[in-house]
Amino acid sequence: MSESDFERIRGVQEGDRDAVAALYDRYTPLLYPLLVRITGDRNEADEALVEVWTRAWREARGYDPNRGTVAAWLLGIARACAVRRVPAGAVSGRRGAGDFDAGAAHADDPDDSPGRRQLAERVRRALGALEPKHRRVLESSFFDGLSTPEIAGRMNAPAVMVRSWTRQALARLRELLPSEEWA
Amino acid sequence: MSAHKEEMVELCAAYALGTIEEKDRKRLEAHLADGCAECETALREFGYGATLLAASAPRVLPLPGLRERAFAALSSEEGAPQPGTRERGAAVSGGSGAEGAKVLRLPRKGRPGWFAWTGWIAAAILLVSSGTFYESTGRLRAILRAREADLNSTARDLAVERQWSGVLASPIARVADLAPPAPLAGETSGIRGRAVYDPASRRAVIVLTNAAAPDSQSFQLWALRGLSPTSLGVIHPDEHGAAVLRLESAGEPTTLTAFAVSLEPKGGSPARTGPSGPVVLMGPLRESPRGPSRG
Repeated sequence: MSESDFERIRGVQEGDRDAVAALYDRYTPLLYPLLVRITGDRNEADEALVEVWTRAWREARGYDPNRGTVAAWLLGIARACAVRRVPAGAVSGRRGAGDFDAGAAHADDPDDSPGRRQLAERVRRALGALEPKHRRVLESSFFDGLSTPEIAGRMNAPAVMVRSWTRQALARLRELLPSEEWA
Repeated sequence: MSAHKEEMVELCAAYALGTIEEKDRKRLEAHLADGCAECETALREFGYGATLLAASAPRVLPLPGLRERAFAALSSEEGAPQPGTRERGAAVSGGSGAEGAKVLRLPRKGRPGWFAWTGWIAAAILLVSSGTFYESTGRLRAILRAREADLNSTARDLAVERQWSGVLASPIARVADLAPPAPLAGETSGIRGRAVYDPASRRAVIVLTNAAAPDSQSFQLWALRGLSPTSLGVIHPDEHGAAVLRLESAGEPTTLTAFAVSLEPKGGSPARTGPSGPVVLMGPLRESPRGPSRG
């Protein structure tokens, strides 16, 4: 974690509004596309984003740097806020498999920085290089909001296998992109 | 500290992606609460993967107004009244028809005489002076609110400072003198430091001197938990090379053994798992010479 994030989250823990504003500006461009992607609806994503920052403000004291970066912590909150806005089983309303293509990238974001665009490209390429089953468990879990048993049912595989593939997929992704940072 | 269980690593992956089931989440939380450095490392690494996945989503930004909405929601979260909310609410209910219909119609009167004119003049003077009074009261209220905010801010600052001075004053504090593990040469040779860690609050204060790194490089702080280094961030000293670092959660007392500083490329070690450059300072934590009996 960068020292500045460390300072910001400490500020939020102490009730500093400037600190949460700084985190908002830095990480909303990371969180919001995920919210749109999971909910498949801009209005729902808007509601989810407000909830994300309310929860982050309220729960900042629960953040533990030993367990991950501020970005990962915020993403956990964001995903939970988005998933609970999607009716169970309504995966068809969301964007589906094949979304890792570069075609749809930054179509709606004229201010997107070149660094972020290039990072997105690198991640999409890395995802394209994964084994299909690994790519599918990552898509189904992270973007479609499915639980492990749901993914197991869709892939016709035991849950224990899905857990193992998830771990392998994340490890492989890290091997392919060992040192990236949301700038 | 609990023994590491390999099966928990798969739960860490599901946790990082948010797919973990409730019963498994509770198992993992209990395991982590007992302290498991391997699982914490796994969580960090899988969280990194989750961040990459999010970065790959097609770029789209919220409308600018959403930022204001989010911060308004934070204000209500604190229970603070929204500026003008009550006034706006009153205006809406007053104009909604039902109450307006209750207005009594007074009988028309003839042309007012001199006595009535005197009354109107008195009313006008009263209105003007009331307006001035109201304006003054409004200004006073604003000043009071500003002073109150200053006071609250100062009280918060004081509480924060007390927390941190509590680390230094803790009778069970552990200290580490940070010194070069091998003789240093060149412009970084003067760096020295001292760390104080309070096992009760998990907070640590680290003071470094002569910590100005060469232009193309940065000093990076590490915590050693067992034998695993965990980055605590790149150090940004002031113009005199001094840095005072306050760490809200430096680590669990059962696993945190030492602090170290390494010299890295600008921005920090490209290897997230540990230093890529030379370790220039190292200091194992030891019990404070003041001893626990002083508390």
